[in-house]
Amino acid sequence: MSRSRDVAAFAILEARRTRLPWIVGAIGLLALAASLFVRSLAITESVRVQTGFLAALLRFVAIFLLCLHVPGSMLREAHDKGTDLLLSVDISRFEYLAGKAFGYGVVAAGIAIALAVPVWLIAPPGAALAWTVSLVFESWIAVAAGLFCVITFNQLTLAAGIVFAFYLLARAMTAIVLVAGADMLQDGSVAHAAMTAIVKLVALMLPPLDAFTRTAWLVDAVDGWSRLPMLAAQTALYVTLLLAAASIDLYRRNH
Amino acid sequence: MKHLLPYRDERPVAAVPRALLLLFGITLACQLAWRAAQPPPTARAEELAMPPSTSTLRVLALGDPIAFGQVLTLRLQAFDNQPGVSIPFAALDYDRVEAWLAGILDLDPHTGYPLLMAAQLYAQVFGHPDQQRHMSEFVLRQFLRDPDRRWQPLAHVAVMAKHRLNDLPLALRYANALKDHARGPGVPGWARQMHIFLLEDLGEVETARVLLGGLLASGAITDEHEARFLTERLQALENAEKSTGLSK
Repeated sequence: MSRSRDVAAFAILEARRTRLPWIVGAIGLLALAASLFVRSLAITESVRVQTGFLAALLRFVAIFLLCLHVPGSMLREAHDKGTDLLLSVDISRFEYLAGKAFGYGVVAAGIAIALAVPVWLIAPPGAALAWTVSLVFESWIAVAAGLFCVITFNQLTLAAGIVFAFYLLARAMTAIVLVAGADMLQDGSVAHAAMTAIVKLVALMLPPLDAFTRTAWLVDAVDGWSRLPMLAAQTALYVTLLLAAASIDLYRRNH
Repeated sequence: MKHLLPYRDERPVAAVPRALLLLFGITLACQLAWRAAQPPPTARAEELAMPPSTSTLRVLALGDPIAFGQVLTLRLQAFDNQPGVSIPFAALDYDRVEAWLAGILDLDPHTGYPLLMAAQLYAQVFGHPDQQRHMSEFVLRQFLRDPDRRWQPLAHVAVMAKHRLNDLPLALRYANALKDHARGPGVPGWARQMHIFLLEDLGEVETARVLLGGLLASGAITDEHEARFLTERLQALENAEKSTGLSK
């Protein structure tokens, strides 16, 4: 357990030393400035427009940073032979992965909380807090997806691209299922039925990320707190699933 | 796929601890069961919010307004017809529907899809004359922006105004707009003369048949799906005439 903690501590230290906090801070300030510009353009509901713009932008940025940071960090360690060195000492692969997941999880939570600060400045405090907690959950899923992809594909472009595509698909899946089911012609063709079935099957495999970190919680006074237990359970389940899959790939590697 | 996975020199699955394989199997089963147990997504009328402004939509389109407009059209369409769940069009907020349709047309002025939806779907909420008039006026306003390209939906709402709204002056206003503004080479003569057969004592189904027959004969409808969709609407009209009233 202490070895996992050490691995986690190094993952956090690496994030600090690669100037990630400065990058996150700068992006948060830029996003806030951009949202003020958007607010100045709005002819009505200016705060609502600003909040919606800022929340959507920061959520996207948080996931984008993680999609690059996790695969980049893992690959740098692998290329420096750090992974080989770590696995040659008395640490199981599961402990190694658990440590990495924990370390990146802390980094992800830090990024999510730091990027949520501008939202706290303009949104109702309770709603902003629920939104932040949900963003942390969403970030953890992105971290687990990043670990799985980088261990499986071992290439930065491929891993980061697939994680980001996974994220976008998971956010859009509910809308895709709705659109796929709306057959205005109702021709009952086999091709349409097959496509709809495939879409629904893919939807089963993905977490419903559109239910996470909803802007409506901030701008429409929709209660986000009541959704958090369900989102926490989904996060725990999906992170475990991805880490189990990543562990299987890691155990099969010949290091 | 092989070249995407550089680590082909792998250990067998047996090298993986069984507990880990079991954990993976259990979590995968739980994920599938969890998601399957949740109710399927359904479109709700109240979830159709006002769209962002056209300038915002243009930014969101990331430089490809046509593709984005098509996605928005399909998204709007998802509010109409769901398997097992049918939102009566009348339940939708027509100001919002109109704003979405107008936004899509701003993104892609050459598309006929939004106006077909306006004339053939949203204007067909029988028993809700205010909404029918709302959508008909929207079709007229959009027609006036590009008459040679948007005459078909106006012809449809002209027929509807006569037979569903029983408002011959309104129908003639639309027909006169066709006569006065749609003068391009692609507009058939009968469309410009709609006011004549609107004044004739034809029933709704005959009028619709003339209209659809004219459209198909003129070659104005080239899309197989659109032809089938319009034919289905005509059949629904005929069936409704045989029985009584026609709901959405």
